Amino acid sequence: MAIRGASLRSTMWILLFLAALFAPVAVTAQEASLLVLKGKNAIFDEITKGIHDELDGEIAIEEMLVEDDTKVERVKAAVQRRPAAILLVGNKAAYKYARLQKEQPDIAYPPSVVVAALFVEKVVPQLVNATGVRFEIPLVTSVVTMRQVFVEPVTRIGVIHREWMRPNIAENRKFLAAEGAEIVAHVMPDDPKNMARLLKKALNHLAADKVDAIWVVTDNALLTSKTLNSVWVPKLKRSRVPVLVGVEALAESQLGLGSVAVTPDLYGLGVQASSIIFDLMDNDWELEDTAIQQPIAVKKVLNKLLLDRRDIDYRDENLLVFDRVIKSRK
Amino acid sequence: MKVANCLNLLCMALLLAHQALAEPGLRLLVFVPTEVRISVVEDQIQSACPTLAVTAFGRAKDFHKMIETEPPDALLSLLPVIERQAAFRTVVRGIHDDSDEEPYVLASIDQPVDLAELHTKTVGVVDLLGRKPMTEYIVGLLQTQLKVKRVTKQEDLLPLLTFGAADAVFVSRRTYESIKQKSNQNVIATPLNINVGLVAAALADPGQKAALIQCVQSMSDSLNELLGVQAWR
Repeated sequence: MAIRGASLRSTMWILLFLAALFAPVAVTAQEASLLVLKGKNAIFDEITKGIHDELDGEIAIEEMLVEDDTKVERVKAAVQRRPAAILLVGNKAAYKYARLQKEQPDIAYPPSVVVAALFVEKVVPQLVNATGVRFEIPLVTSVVTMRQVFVEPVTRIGVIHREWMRPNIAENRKFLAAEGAEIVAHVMPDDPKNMARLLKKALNHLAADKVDAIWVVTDNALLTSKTLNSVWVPKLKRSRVPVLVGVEALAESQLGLGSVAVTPDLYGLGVQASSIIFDLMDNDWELEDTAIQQPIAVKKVLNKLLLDRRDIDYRDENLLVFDRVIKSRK
Repeated sequence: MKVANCLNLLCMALLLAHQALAEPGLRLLVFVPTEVRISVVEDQIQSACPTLAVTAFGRAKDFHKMIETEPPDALLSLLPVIERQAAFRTVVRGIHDDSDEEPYVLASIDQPVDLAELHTKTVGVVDLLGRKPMTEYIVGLLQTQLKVKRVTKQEDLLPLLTFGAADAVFVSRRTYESIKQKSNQNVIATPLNINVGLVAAALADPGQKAALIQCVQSMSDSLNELLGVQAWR
């Protein structure tokens, strides 16, 4: 009987040992987590709302604020907690993470997804095992929207861009061609000394090109307060063709520039990023497709006051497709 | 005499206002994906149904969350959405071409969808139910395991096709016609032998049926068109 008791105790110890051995594996699989590195900005909060709405209950989410003074070591410590994937929201978070990868190439980095970073195609190649969703709205999305509302055809779209944006413009041309539209481009040097003068010249050329709409790309070097006040607004305030902008503030009446703004739907961007996380989840956290995705959901704003002032005809009944219609000066 | 009449009218107005405040009508939650901004849908339904407290949602997630946290008296949504709400009974259905259902197709660019290869495809849909239930619903309807890509708004379906994020989108023939009208691309419909229920209205307590029926019957032709129906029964 005593021998039997000892044998039973040994069996129990073996079982406990085996349980202890395998338990951590089971917990790791069950508690896969997502690390969200994000900058401090209301825009990013709306994106993470979409992410939480989609992913809460599916995966544990750890959020960490990344600011200019955030030490790379803090990011490293978060990565070493072994998240299954990392979501990088905003340029600061993405570049800080890229710095960590550069400085510490020997760490195993999980797949990461970059969102809300301007010109994400510049960031993603600096990262290992990464993909991203563009923040800039492809012109084709805006053209389809404009065609719904404007009476005159929207086929030739004029744009002024810097040299480095050529690949981006080429990609936009490809999507536009499918919709039977084209880009008429004027290229500026990357770092011109006399930006305002060159811009004025390029806008004069666009006017002569008889384009159906003008697309103002969101490029900080082209859109400074100086160029806005001395070139863009004075040149385009009486534009007889729609002026398309990528930032809602540029379509406000006080400024008098953009008559249409098509911007990212921030919540939708969060949902789209979550969809990549779900794909990763279904694929054992292996990133198969690193191609950068185009943003799908957009927010559309139309400035009716400016259109009326500029005598641009639109279909009143189709204004309902816009998320916001600006009718007053404020 | 005129002053007395005015006072009478004022008293009546105050009485009605008091009654309206004291007895709020049914709380109606609406979720019907359309191309129009959600505040417009809400305003139009509220105008048609002044005795009801109407809240419209543009996203499935928000709609379902509200049903859970603050259960309403009534729902107005597509039939597949209502059918999954066990606490609600459908009391009135939208009709189009004398049917309470409409045909669905797979819309794609340039090439029709090879239905034998559907299991290798990614199909885009407007999310009605949330990730898992929506995927199960589509897989059940199309009777094959396939990848389902959900979007929050109807207008997001065309970009899915334009950017190659989906091979096809699963839409009503009506929505297909609207995508085709909007785009210059060669959007093709692959017919399916699948019909899906149109918009319907449901109640938690069927005893309050009269108010809800009166509400939908008061909807204008343009509002009905927006909701994808021609009449109610």
